[in-house]
Amino acid sequence: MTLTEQILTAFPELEGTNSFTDGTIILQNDSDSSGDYIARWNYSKPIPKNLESFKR
Amino acid sequence: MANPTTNYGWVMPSATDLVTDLPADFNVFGQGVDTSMQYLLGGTTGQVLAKTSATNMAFTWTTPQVGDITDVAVTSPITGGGSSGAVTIAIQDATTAVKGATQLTDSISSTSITTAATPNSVKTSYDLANGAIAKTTVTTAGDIIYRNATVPTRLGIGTAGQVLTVNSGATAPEWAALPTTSFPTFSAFRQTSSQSLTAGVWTKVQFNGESWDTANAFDSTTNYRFTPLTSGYYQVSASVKISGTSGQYGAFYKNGTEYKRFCDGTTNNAGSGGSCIAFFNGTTDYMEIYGQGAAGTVAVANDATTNWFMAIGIRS
Repeated sequence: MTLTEQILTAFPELEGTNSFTDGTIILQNDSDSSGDYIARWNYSKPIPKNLESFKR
Repeated sequence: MANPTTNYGWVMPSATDLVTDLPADFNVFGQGVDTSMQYLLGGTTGQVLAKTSATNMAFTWTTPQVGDITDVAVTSPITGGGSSGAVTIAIQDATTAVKGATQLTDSISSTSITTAATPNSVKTSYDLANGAIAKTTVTTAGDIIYRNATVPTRLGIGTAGQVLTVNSGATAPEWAALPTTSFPTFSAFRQTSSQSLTAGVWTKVQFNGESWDTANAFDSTTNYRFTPLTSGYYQVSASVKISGTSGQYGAFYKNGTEYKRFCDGTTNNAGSGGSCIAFFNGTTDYMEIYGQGAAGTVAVANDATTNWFMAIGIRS
């Protein structure tokens, strides 16, 4: 399951919104070995515990 | 007739004198005349009478001295003259046509043609001329004059395309070639296989092919970023074509942060590009392209026509 999918699972209300492109949540991949990570989290709810390790 | 006479006071016999008195009367008259005329006696040829005092009939015979003026003859520019009566002379005014008297002037700006310059005005003009730059300082069309450490100096015309600049010692102007900055430019694209992305994740597009890269400023193997080592303003352009559903996104990332977005939710699998201008410090600033497919199976196609990234410097 991708990082995006995990977030949508935790917050299904984000499905179909612009949250991943309007700056609310920025998921990023720098095309290096680090993989996908959370570059910004401005959503009103906190990052789920199981995803906190993705925050950079 | 008045008796005695009006001017000389000679006494003459009167109408009432007795005849016997006539000899004595004529004696008196004659003696008066003799006394009055005594100064007219004597003299020699060429002599003239001259007054010896203001007293009436006080004359003496004198011989004219050599050089005494008896006639005034004049020639231009003197006018007047004569040999009798009151003799007057004058000097006619000078013009450019006739010689004569002139009015002096200290002016160094007058345009008069009837006045003459004084030594003072001549010196003033000389001093100005002496302080002026000699016409012979320049010799060739296009020469310019500048002052070196001491005197005005010629700077010969440069060659076509040169510009005027200051020499390295900052002591004089000189001609030099127009300085040009050779800005790097590059053109990269996605080649070989397509690049898979995670839906909803801004992912750096790996442009791993290059059409040109004049200064090796674009890294197409590791970081996929443009890092010009010449500072200045650059126009950067890019286009992405990302598969998937619910829209594709593309953005310029400067130094790791979104700088300008050129594609915002356009139709997936359709090339969409844009351009912007950014300043690079010539050392650490860099630019990358990030793309995102909103949903579905997302990938950047290996298509040099729709997935490309290029830049060129435009000014320092």
